[in-house]
Amino acid sequence: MHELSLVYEILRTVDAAARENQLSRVTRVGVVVGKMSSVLPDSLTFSFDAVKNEVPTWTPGVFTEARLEVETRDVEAHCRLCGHLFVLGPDLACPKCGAATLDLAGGTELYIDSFDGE
Amino acid sequence: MTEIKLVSKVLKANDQIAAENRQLLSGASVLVINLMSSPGSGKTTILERTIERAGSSKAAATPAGVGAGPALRFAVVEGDLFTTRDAERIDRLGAPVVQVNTEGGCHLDAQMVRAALEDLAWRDADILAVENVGNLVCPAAWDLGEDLRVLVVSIAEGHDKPAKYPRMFREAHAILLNKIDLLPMTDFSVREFEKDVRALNAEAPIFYLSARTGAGLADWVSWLRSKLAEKRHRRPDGAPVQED
Repeated sequence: MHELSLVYEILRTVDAAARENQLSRVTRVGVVVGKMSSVLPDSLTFSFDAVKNEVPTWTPGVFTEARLEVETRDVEAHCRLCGHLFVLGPDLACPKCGAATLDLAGGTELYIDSFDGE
Repeated sequence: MTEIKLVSKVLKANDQIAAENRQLLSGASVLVINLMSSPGSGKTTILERTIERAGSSKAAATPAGVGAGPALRFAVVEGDLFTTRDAERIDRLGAPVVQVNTEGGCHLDAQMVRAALEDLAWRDADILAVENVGNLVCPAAWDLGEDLRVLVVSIAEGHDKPAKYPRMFREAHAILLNKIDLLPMTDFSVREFEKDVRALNAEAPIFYLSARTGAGLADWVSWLRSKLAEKRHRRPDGAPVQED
């Protein structure tokens, strides 16, 4: 439910970067969202389209044609017992040996990766 | 068409303010705990009992002397959607408290805590407790500037919570399993709970307690005291103090 405020942050950051790079039109904004980031990609996209033309920007209409591209990232687990590497599912155990001692990596990403403009 | 590589954290502004909060509070040697849980698992009651127990040197000691030590001074930031009920409960205990209403917002952020600190007498406190909005999802993503993330779960919520809300459990520094007095009345499996917690988080201690009966509180308070001592033995930049 906090995706709208995140979209404002995204638009603000990209707007400033577009201005810095003397781009008057942004066509794509790429963000990376981990599956444990407490952010829903669909809700983020919906919010982006809902407010992209409503926020005050340095160049009016800079986001009119912009679309949000969301890349999701899985949570990776590394079994401490057998060393097996796997994508964490709903079951908190190693699919290979069944052990439940895991080192987790990734999944909390939440960043603007890049954008296209002209 | 130009592609601009940004790699800029969406929560950069929040993280920046959180870092400033952390520096400000560490400068005054205040230990900051971010108390998180679902609604109704007992955060405020645990806080009340903790302040009562640790806030007075007499009450702090159990017959065995566990949890004993000088009285700790608490300051509290209470996060809640709309009401001031929790802050009123803390206020009755005489601890400085500020209520933050998020007006429907699902978590506290670093800016809310910074604003609250301006209205709170926290400089003389040993421990600043920030009670987050009751929610097992969103608060995990917002750094407030805390030293420790303390997660409260209660027996009635069921033992499947670690598997359902892995991030909270993965990032917790301590887990309080509250309402342990209800255990015989439920199908809660402590074994399953521990197994899933340990899969996600090998280090965080689990405290089994009942804020209602007082069971297990002494161990929790004793841990808090040890964390405070640990922090005060360190310089504000986090490096250990050199012993002679």
